[in-house]
Amino acid sequence: MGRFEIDSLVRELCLRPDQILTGSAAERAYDCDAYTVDRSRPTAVTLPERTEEVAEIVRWCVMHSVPFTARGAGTGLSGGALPALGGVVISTKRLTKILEIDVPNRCLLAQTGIANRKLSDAVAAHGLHFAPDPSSQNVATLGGNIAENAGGPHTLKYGVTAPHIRGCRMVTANGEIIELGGRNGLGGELDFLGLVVGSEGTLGIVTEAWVELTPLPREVETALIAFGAVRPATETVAAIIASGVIPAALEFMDRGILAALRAAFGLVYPDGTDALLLVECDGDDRAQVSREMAQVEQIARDLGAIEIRRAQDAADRAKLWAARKKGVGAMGRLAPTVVTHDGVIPRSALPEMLDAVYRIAADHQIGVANIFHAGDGNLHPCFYFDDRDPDQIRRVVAAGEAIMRECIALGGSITGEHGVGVEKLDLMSLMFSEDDLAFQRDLKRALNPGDLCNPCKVLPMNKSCVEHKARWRGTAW
Amino acid sequence: MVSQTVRPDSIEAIADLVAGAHRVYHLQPHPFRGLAASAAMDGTWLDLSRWSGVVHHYADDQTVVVRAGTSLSELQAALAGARQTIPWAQLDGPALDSDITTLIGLNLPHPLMAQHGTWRDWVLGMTVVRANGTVVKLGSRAVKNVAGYDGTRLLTGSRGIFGIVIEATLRTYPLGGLATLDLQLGREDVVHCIYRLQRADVELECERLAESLVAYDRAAHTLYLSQAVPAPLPHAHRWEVGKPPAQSTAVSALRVAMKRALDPDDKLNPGEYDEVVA
Repeated sequence: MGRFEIDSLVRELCLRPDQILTGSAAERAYDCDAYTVDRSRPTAVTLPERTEEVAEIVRWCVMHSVPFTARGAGTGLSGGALPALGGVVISTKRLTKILEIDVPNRCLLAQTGIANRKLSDAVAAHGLHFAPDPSSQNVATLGGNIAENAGGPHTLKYGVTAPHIRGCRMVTANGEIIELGGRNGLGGELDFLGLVVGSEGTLGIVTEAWVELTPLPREVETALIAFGAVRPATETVAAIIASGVIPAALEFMDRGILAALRAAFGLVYPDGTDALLLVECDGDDRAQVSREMAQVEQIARDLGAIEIRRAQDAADRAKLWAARKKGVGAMGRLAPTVVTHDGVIPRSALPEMLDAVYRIAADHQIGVANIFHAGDGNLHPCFYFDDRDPDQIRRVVAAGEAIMRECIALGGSITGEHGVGVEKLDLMSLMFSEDDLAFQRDLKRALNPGDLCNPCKVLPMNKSCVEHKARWRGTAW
Repeated sequence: MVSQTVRPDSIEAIADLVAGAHRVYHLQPHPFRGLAASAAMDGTWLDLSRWSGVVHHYADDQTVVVRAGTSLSELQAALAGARQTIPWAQLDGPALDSDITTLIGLNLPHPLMAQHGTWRDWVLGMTVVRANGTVVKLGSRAVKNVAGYDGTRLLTGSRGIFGIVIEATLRTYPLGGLATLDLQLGREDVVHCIYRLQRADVELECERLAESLVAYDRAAHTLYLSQAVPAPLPHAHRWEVGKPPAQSTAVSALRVAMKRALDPDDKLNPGEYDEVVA
């Protein structure tokens, strides 16, 4: 796509000049998301304000065979919003309206550029919230959550994004506007909505969504449990799950994270702490919530917890959560660069898997800290290193792949919530056979036959993507 | 071609059979299927009863891998030993002993759905025989997974038209944590229509339809009725005996596109959605 096409784009679309960005500043600003290893510049960035405008842009792209990529806040961690073959970025930055709040039926309709947090803020007074809570929820958009089927700390009890989306208005890959599901969910319809959620923006662009609103629990109990070693903490997680208690959140942090928190924020934990579990139980029945938390604490004590702090009130709870919320940010104190991986395993394998993570990091001589959604078996090993050293980068990539192989060997997956994007394209064939991938290719082909809609994502490379891949790599390569 | 019933006992046998067949019907008879269209056609009737049994119950992870010809009652009995269950509840009727592939294919509402979800929430992974006879795996055994396209949600409730589910990895739930039914029972009768409403509409509809009300599920704002609903409300959903559930125009178009990509010869369960197409 060159100057001629940009002129034609500006001329032919009914967008105001301030809705089309071109030039080197725009190209640089939109050349990657929060996964910064690979970069690719768009030719133009568009800022539609209505579904019809999105459809018009898509139809223009299809007519001119120009690739297009939707983008929310750019907080994705696998390169899902990277315009892999250039072309047009369709930003949802101005699609931020809540269109209807239906309190009696516990749902709302919003444009998908709205930040996740604002959905919950809008209905908090009614005792409701939008349950998916990715750590980036202050800025991450509803559309991005839908594209990645985002999770978060409370996924353990409330589920990932998919079950909280009742319906959507979507611009298909050929520019038609369609509706899937709606105010009252799907009924007996085929679940194309479930296929679209988590498809990383490759099957169309969701511009509006009906989201489920969940009542806020009346009773919440939170505890921070310290262990003198990693193994008893991971065994506690496995034992809690096996006992049948389903906490609202069950999060793990290790010594590396605690060191970072101490350095960054002065947060101090009991002497000898090597691992922390943050456990939250909630519900409407006070006695039951207390019973569940007592059961959790008993399991932890039996397995060797050295200290248990129970939150006394909301302010105290916020303090306990500080470790989890600030943990990843604090990692910046440990090294110039942090790469967060995302793998999943069946939960009973957690003790074995975490041993493997430390072993793999040691084998590759890389620092690792762990902070993750333990209750879901969703690991986030964070490698910290210096990306000015190509050798360190290679070791980080090799260690990441070794961890993913281990996840698959234990019956898990290469991603629990960050998505495949471009980051994990090459790992898909570790998890899926060629026949499995052919089936997925057919699923994609049915909804995105021309492959102009966010190309080079999710499934291993087609030829044009392979040719471009060398260009995506960041400066360190 | 003449109709014949086959009972294969291995994945290879199922795959070979599908590869060589002209048409394959593989869901069990069920009142909530539109059987008339299928029954009139010739083809191979795939009976999965010899492809049954629990492959492995990972009790500590609360997951189970089960062959799809297993009946639900057989699966529940196997899980009960570890005090676990699939949180499916039902009103009186013939559904309990349907096999897993049929239950996944229909994904009907049930009286614990508000508290524990449906098959779409329980299926973590599946092994599927495609129309061309290749065997593919979708999903994984982890409770959270976003690697690749989530074909499991699309195939669940698709009445077997996109592939034959021959093995499923399911979430299991502790028996002790099972919610109590929130049902108001009405007349004793056979359910002919399941009618799911918006929360705000349900009380008035209960009154209007009191004559045919078999049960009212308060948590899922769903009515179980002994006859079809006269003049359904906007945004309501219906499942009726002998009919496939209605599909919107957009979904019907996507179904045709997906069918073309996955089963271009219309080999698998043809006729399941015929009424809607017509």
